[in-house]
Amino acid sequence: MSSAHAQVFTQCETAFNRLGWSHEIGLGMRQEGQHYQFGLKIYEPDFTFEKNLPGVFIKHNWVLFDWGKTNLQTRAALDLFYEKKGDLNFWLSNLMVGFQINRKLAKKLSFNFEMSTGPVLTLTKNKDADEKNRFQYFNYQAGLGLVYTFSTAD
Amino acid sequence: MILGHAGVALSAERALYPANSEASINYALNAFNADGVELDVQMTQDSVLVLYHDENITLQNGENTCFYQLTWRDIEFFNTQLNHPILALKDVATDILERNKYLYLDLKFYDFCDSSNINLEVMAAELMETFEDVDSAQKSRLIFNSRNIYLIDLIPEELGIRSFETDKIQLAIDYYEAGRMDLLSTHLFGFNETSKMNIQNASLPFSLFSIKTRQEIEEAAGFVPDFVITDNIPATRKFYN
Repeated sequence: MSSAHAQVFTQCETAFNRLGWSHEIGLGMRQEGQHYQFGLKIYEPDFTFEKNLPGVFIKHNWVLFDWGKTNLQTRAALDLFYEKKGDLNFWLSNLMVGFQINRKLAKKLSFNFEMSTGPVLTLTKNKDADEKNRFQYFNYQAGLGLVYTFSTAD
Repeated sequence: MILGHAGVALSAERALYPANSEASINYALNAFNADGVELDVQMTQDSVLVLYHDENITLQNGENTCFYQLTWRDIEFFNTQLNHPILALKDVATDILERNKYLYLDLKFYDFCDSSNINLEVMAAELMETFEDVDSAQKSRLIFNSRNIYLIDLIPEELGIRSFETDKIQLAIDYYEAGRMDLLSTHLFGFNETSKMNIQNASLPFSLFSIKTRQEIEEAAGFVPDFVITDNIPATRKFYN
């Protein structure tokens, strides 16, 4: 996976955590075992969100062990969401760190499984009462994804 | 009206914080914008009304006992070990009502260790004392629920909405027509179009509970209840907005 040349890839991932089911699509670049990615993430309206509003995420992965077709990465991701719930403004950020196993399926396609955990920070503001509240709790998730690499070094 | 079950949720897989805790109540009201919360009320041996769901409690020394066997001092000691302490009703009740939210109190009345009812008169007196300074607008958002009609009988009509919990619809209608209660609280499970038609004919307001999954939320919304007690506030709000 590591290469002196930068590679551009896209990744889609579905995960389940304490906020519900999420689906994300991102665009990234990898070089020397470092992966940088940004994209859009959406939660199904269920445990936390009422509407299908996308949030944004940035992610960094680092290849810890590389066994050819399979590698183990550490990952850190930060998500940001906003939703208006009636007269309440709801902001949510979620920092997640964990591990990801990638398995190459074809020259440009790989599959990944990840498990991560981290704090959810929520800020709410009631427009009428002009009242701000902050909350935090721990989140944990498991996810599956597919990565398509647009260019390969070899 | 959408009420969070014991705060955000009672069920472990959906509860972000312990049931009936301050954090859970605040998250339901201030982050999920619920119209109110359903909280479980039990009375200690020394007549303090406390927010706690289970009949039993396991203390630090591993002893498992009925909640009613404890004193408030025992609970205060127990609280020193908890991140989210067990609350006294009076510490949160007025604050919830002052925020223009509904407060639905599920009154537990049975001591399983003694196999008998607790002293219902004392519980009713403690409730009256807790809410004696609440104004009439707040009382219109205050609901007292119990499966024990004799406890409901002890709560003055002017103190709030008196809710009787049962799956026997005709019994609830009879009590309603006799002026003994103002609201029926019943499980979604077992509730059907005939139940709905009967309570509609009697003009009996009703609330549904045991609502967790999206399917249950959708099913409950179809009956258009006056109150929904849910373990999933955001998904329930989606259906009603």
